[in-house]
Amino acid sequence: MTIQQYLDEIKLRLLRFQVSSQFDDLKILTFLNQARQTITLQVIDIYPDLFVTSLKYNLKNIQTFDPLTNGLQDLNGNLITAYLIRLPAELYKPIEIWVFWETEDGITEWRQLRLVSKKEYYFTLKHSFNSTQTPTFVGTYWHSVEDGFYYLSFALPKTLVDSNPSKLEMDIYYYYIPMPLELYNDSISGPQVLPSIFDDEIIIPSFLEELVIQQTILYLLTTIDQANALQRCKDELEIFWNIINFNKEISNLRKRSLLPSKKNITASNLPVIGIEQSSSNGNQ
Amino acid sequence: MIPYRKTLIRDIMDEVVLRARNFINFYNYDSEFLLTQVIQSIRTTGFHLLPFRVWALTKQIPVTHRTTLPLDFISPIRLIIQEPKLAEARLVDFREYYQLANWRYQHSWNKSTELNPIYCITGVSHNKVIFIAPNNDYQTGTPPPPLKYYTGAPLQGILEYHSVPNYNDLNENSYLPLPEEFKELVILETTIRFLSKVTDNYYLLNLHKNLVEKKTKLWDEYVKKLQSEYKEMDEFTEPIPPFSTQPAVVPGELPNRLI
Repeated sequence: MTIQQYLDEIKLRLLRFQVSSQFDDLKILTFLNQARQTITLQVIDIYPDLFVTSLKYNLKNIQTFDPLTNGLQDLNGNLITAYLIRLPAELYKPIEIWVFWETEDGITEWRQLRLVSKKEYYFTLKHSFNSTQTPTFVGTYWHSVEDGFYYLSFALPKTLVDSNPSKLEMDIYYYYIPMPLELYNDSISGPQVLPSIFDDEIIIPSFLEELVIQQTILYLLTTIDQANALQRCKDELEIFWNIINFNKEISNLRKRSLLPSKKNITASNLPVIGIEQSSSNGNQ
Repeated sequence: MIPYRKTLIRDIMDEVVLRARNFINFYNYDSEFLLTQVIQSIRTTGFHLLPFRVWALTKQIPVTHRTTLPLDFISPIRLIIQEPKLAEARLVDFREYYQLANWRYQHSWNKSTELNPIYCITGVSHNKVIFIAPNNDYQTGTPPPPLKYYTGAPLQGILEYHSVPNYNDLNENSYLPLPEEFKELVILETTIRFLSKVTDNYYLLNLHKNLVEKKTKLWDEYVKKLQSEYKEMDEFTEPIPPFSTQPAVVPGELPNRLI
């Protein structure tokens, strides 16, 4: 759905409550952006695959090193190079981080970055056999209250960085929360409404659009004195949530139903006497 | 006349117009608007029906490694690999993918092979993308022996997934892409949308109430049916331990000490 389609749909729904004239486009858009984030946060555990994106970093261009761990030596005397990068604002949680480089033989090496707790990060780097010299490299991420961004600190063997491979890149796959949509485009064409430029909303999966619309209407109705309309909207939203939650329950139940038994094996239900009795009970 | 065929979108539009005939006049009727609202209703109803008819709302597309999935993708059902060998790929979590697809560090007996391919859904540039392994990713130069690269043809297959219809896929002459038994819900949903524009307060209120009641009833019936099904399943499956309780009879066999 594009912004324009969202706005049309929301205005149409508001007509049911006879309150459409009380809201302008920008007010609707403000709550729409809030609703998109709220709904994503609520369903990201149910449909995690639908909110994944990736970023590629060229590590040769990154000259920001982690001052607290860069230049450390592990117990075998191997030096490390520790990078520090700021992650995008839309990041919710990293899933997979891969590092690539090309050796002199032309072989592309593909290594996973192992995320550890920040508490153990320093000593993992110092470790003799668990440090970043092993096939999986080591990293940690955290959130800073100073600027509100996530940071990733990770370490590579210094010999690898100094050998200057033809490419040294990193792919980060992460869950994201959608950023606000804009209706105005000030930087290009001045302050005019240009929805077509920012219309490409592909972030929210199509079957969740209905939830976003309902949530937006709920937000809008809370700003005005319409208790009946608000209650009707809440009821509708509740039906949707029941569907989603029950959907999840069904899929869990189906997984369990395929198992041969759901009961714990105890002495009482073991066929201790023999096969004859089991077959007479119809258990074979 | 009773149409002995699958319902067309046009039929639904006709029925909506019939139900809302008292409120339609020269100034407020627009067939394009009505068509848009029918499609939107089908999408909304389709999403509602997903748990009811999991076999109904499916779609097939040809995929290869790193194919971008369409916007109507909801969840995967299965992936049948057709080339180079016929096999069903198994769905893995994206966090397992590295261990199963990496040419150097992949698992010894659980790795992805032509006869045992894997797939996972992930995202690139805010699009949903399917990763299928084995593949030729990051395989350059000559691998150090005894390691080997995947040298077969790129895997191609058909992905089946749950979906809701796209806006652009439907027009007035398209068939209703939902089971016929839910036609009534689509009609009610469209009527309420159409009347929202025309706006008759009293009729709108009743229709809305009717729609919500119908959906709730459908939902309750389904929940009860599922609960009874699972109860029957529980009674049907008796625990049978996967070992024998008989004493060892063959000379030399170890005695059974499990009990």
